[in-house]
Amino acid sequence: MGAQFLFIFLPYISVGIFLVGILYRFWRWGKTPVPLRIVVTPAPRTRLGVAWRLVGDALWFPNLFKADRLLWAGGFLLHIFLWLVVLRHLRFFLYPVPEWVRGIQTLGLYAGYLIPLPLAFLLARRLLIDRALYISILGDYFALLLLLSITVSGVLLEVFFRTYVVDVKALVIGLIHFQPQVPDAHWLFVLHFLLVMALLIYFPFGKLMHSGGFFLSPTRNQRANFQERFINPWDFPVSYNPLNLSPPEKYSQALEEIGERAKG
Amino acid sequence: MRVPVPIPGIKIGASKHHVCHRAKDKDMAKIDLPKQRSENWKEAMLQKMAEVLERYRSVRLFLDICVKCEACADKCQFFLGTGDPKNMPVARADLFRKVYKRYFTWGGKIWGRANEAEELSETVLQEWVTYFYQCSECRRCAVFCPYGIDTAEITMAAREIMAVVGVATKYVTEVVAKVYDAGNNLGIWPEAWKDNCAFLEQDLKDTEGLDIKFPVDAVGAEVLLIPPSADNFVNTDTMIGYAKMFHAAGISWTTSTYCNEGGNFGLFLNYANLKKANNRIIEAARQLRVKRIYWGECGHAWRAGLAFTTTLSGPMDFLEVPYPLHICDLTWDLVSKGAFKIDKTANDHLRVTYHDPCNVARATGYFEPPRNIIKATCNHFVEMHPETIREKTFCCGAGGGLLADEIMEIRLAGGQPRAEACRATGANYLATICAICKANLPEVMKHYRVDCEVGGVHDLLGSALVLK
Repeated sequence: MGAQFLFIFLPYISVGIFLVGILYRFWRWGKTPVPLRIVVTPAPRTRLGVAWRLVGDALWFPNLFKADRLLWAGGFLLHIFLWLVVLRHLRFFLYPVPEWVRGIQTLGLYAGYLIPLPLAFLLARRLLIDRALYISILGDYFALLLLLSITVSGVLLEVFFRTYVVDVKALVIGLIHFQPQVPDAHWLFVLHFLLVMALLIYFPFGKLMHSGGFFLSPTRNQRANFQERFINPWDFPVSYNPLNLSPPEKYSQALEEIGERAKG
Repeated sequence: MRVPVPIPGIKIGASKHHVCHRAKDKDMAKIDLPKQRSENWKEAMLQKMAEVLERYRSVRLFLDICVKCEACADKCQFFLGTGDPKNMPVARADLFRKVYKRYFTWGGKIWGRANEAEELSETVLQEWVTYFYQCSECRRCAVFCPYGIDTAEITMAAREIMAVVGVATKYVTEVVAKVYDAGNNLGIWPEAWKDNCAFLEQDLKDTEGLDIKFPVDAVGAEVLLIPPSADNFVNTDTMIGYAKMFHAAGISWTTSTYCNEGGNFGLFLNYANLKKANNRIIEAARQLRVKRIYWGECGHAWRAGLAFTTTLSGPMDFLEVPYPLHICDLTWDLVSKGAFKIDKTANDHLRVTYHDPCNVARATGYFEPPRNIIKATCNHFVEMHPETIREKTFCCGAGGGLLADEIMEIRLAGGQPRAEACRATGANYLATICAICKANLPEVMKHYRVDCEVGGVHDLLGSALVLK
């Protein structure tokens, strides 16, 4: 029963939470209006420019590079390694395995070996820099430690406790085709699997949503097209308080007086 | 060198005693805000918070996606100057975030303590008043944040929320109230404005023998100039620079006694006052039937003018395109076409550097025209360190409604990076196009013993223009 829950129900539950959670977050942000044009220089003027900037931001973090080279290096390597490892795992999801997935197997493996380095660097930063220590909360450590334990268990599975990959693939393909079957697995694989499920469940709730959220960030995706009118959907009319001493009517009156004086 | 001052170690609570004075009842009444906190202020604040979260994607998103990477921490001049960790942009946003988490997220509602969620309380409110009024909304952090998180948006939201329960500062509310009474931030009455203009006319006649007009309320003039009111009162050399330029170019211009202020302090308070103060510019332009509006040398004015005017004050299609326009656009256009006779040697005693005001730099990306004007009117121009100019410019230390005397120490601390960057160039004249920079930087320079005068760009043009 335990194994059934672990390998059949839990995957569906966690993937469900992951997908619904992400969609909910995007829907929540997306339906919240952007009332003003709050571009930050350097801001693109065209839609194409915005697209190019978002792609750049997603791939090589230029702002972080401007801010702190060392932190940029740590963050950049972590993300590249994570992508390689995730892509490497596609071999469990696709049948037949495409050529390019085969091609990155070795690269992905080395990325997996190296991932603990940037993770440890980011963790050390949080503990050693007084400013970072001051702002870090449990969630920040949790995300780092979760990724660290997933990658360490993954590497151990690859190197010391070789898992029979055909079983793993059967498990994943079975889940995808809604014909799940319970494999006979090593306890370390169970742990690895469990941690990944935990990551999927945690993902939509915490700071990991930065991954997609920044695409909706107004300072990133607005254009500096100042000549076009920007409409605030919830704009409201304003009126003058009777206590104010110079409403527009008073000014018109003063202007008329000036006009009459000029004539006279 | 990443910054001109060393990054300080954190000193908890270092600037917690520098709190702005609370608003006066009479000013609050004039700007449609409650005078006192009511019994149920917490509910009212939370209700407003919910509204803000529904209305500004920026606020909700920025609170949600921050990963606390700490890249912004050493970018804020107020942290660099004070060392108070709550002046790090991320920690400033945390003051808002902890309340947001407690009331608006599942994680905070269910598992508050681990998430550092916190209930709204008197202590939290005091922190908000203190630290959200130690942010100059300069947006330097947004330039370095990998997600473009703009802490100014959080600060503005927090101030808007505090305002609904009658918590605001004396300086900001006083200034906004003066705009509705006198037409400008300094509270110069129409008669006094006309008087100042007449005085400047007389002064130019006496000292330089020039017959140059400073028109006021001239219906049908081609151009309405919206200067910061300080230009007609304190930084008069800038005003003289504008007048000489218009005179030499033969353009009919006017100021308006109804709206002789660009600097929009509604930006530091709430949306309604931002809109109302901005509308006055358009109302004045319609009443005077001008063809074009030029914004003067004022930082916040140019942000509101360029980025917000069409949104807040409707289409400006009664004006000639393109709009909105900055006075430096016009001046540089004319200078580059050779419309003026310029004697650069008049400024030879000056070694000039240029300070990008934060709003002009980061909200509008307006870098070249003022620099071009300086280069066209001065022989000696030096740039400050590249990490401290253009979009990476430091705030003067008093933008965003911080130009209040009671927080002078914060202003000086915030101005320190700019003062040190200026010292390194050996310049003796720091030109800038913002009235608040012109007000705060002299104090800063004096305090850090940097021997440098602070003035406008049109001051330089004014002294180099040959008019006879």
